[in-house]
Amino acid sequence: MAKCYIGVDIGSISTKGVIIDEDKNIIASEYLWTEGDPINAVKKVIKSLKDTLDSKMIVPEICGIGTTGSARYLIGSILGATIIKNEITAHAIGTLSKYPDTRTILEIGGQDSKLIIIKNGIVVDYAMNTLCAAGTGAFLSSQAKRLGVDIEDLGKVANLSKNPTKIAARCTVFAESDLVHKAQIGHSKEDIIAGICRAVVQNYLNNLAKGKKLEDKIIFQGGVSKNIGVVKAFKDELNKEIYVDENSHLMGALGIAIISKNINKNGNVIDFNFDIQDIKFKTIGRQCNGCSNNCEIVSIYKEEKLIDTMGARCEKGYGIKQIS
Amino acid sequence: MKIGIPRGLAIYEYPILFEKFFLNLGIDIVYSNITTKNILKNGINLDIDENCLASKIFLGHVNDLVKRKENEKIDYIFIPRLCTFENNDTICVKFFALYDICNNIFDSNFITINIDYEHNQSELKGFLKLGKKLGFKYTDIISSYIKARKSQDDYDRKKLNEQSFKLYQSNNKLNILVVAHPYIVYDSLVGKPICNKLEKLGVNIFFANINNLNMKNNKILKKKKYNIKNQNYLKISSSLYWKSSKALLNGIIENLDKIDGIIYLSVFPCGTDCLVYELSSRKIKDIPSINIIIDEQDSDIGLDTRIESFVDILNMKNTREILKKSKVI
Repeated sequence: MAKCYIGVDIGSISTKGVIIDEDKNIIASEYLWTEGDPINAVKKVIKSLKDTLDSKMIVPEICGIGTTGSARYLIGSILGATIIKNEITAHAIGTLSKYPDTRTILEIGGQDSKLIIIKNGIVVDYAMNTLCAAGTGAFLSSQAKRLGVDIEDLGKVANLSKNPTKIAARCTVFAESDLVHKAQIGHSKEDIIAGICRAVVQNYLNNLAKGKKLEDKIIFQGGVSKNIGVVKAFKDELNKEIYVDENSHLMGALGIAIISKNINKNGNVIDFNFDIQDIKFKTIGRQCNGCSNNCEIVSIYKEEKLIDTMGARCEKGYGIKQIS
Repeated sequence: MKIGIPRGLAIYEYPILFEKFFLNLGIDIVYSNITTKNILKNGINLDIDENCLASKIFLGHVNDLVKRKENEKIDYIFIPRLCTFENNDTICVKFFALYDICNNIFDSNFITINIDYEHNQSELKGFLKLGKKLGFKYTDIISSYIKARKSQDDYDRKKLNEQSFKLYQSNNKLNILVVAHPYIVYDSLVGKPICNKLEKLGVNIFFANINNLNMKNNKILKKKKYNIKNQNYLKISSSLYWKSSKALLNGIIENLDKIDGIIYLSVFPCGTDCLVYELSSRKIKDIPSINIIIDEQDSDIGLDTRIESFVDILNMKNTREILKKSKVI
């Protein structure tokens, strides 16, 4: 029996899960696409984590579950999480556990991009993109689709280019028209893709890093950090060494697992069932008609039994919980 | 007689003054309902796209009263016209225009008060005209106004004292200053949920709109001048234009040594706030701050993430400092 902590990071595009042991080592991990269905994605992640543990002959004693990412509340209540925290804190703590001397974390995810500045092991400043998705993974994947390139190959193709095309990337929509134009006047595909990677970086730096000093050591993470083209563009643009961990995509999940470990100081074992795959979860979204706020309420059912209701601004919305 | 007051914009500038004035004259008042999504929805339909969220909410409130007018026998709907104040102060042009805009959009009975010192319309004069239009005697109007003014001043003073008292009480919680216009921060759809969220995260909230700059002396008829000591906003900029921006910056500077973090809260699109908040966050360097702009979108998750992480980071910083002081690190 080994004490374990689970961290799950459910992003807009991908879902990440890790299990760590008492010494914060990752003993199992999984990374897959959310595909718009966070509940199923988490079921798969938990199953795969369990399989990994089984193959390593580890019998886990779960002492903490943490969830983070944009679906953290939904998944938190499904898994019975002991801690639900935002992704900025989780990323900072996850990265610091591996690289204590980190000063700057660049993070580009599916719909969010973040910049976290750390001083003496403590977060002192951060910036997040505004609602616009320019300069995030969503931009990259839509452009990749447009050019008929697999998103996983985007980096490789970009690094073939010697002469990246200049692409205006202030706005995703306009970047697209710029891109079409550049293709039509004869720029090669590699150059355009390299240009997109560069555009993402420039957009990121213009949006988030204005007025901030990016000091060594710089860690780049999030799903987009797997794209070697973007990494290269960051290196060229900042003229600094950029570190990308092999587990860079897992840092949020790792961080939330560590937080769940930290809050459970006594190491109490909690009740957790790995067979979540077989449990039927259902969510019902509806509008509360209690007042003219018309809150959108999501009720989560586990085997037809209501376990949580979210989204209401007042008790009236939660009142549904007792009735049904 | 019954007067309806829309719960938006100008009314938050003087929450007591207008209400007390009418009550002192023996007029019944009704407020529009608190802001809900429905009110905002109606406001969006009525207002032009380019206007700010607060102005859309305001029109929603007026719409609410116009609808209730028949059933509840409301005689007038009161829409103040605030333009210029003492010491050449002025306010956002939305406040100039509200009365005329409403007259154009709705077919209803509106009544206004014109406060425009630049054109020699003092507060007292405005109230005299308003009272006369409602058919009261000058003596009654003047005494009602003076009493109402005093109540407003007492209310402001009380709020300020409460806040300063709270600031000087030491507890281990974080002190966060919310910088926003009163019509944003007290609104039940925009500001209140954010304040509730902050309270749930266990922080003390303070408001920049409660500060010394707007405090008046109780001698009403005497020409009022600012106390030079209270013009703290000059430390950030001497060329600020709007009255409310000056007040908010004053609120920041007054509390600077007591607060751990600043939340700049504004609604989209607000030209003034854009400029003033940017200016202030550049000049005040040693206090962490976050700028939140609210629009008509109603997904909360992005907002939650930003507020939560801001408080988390302040907490981390605080623990670090406590440890540093006790020389553990």
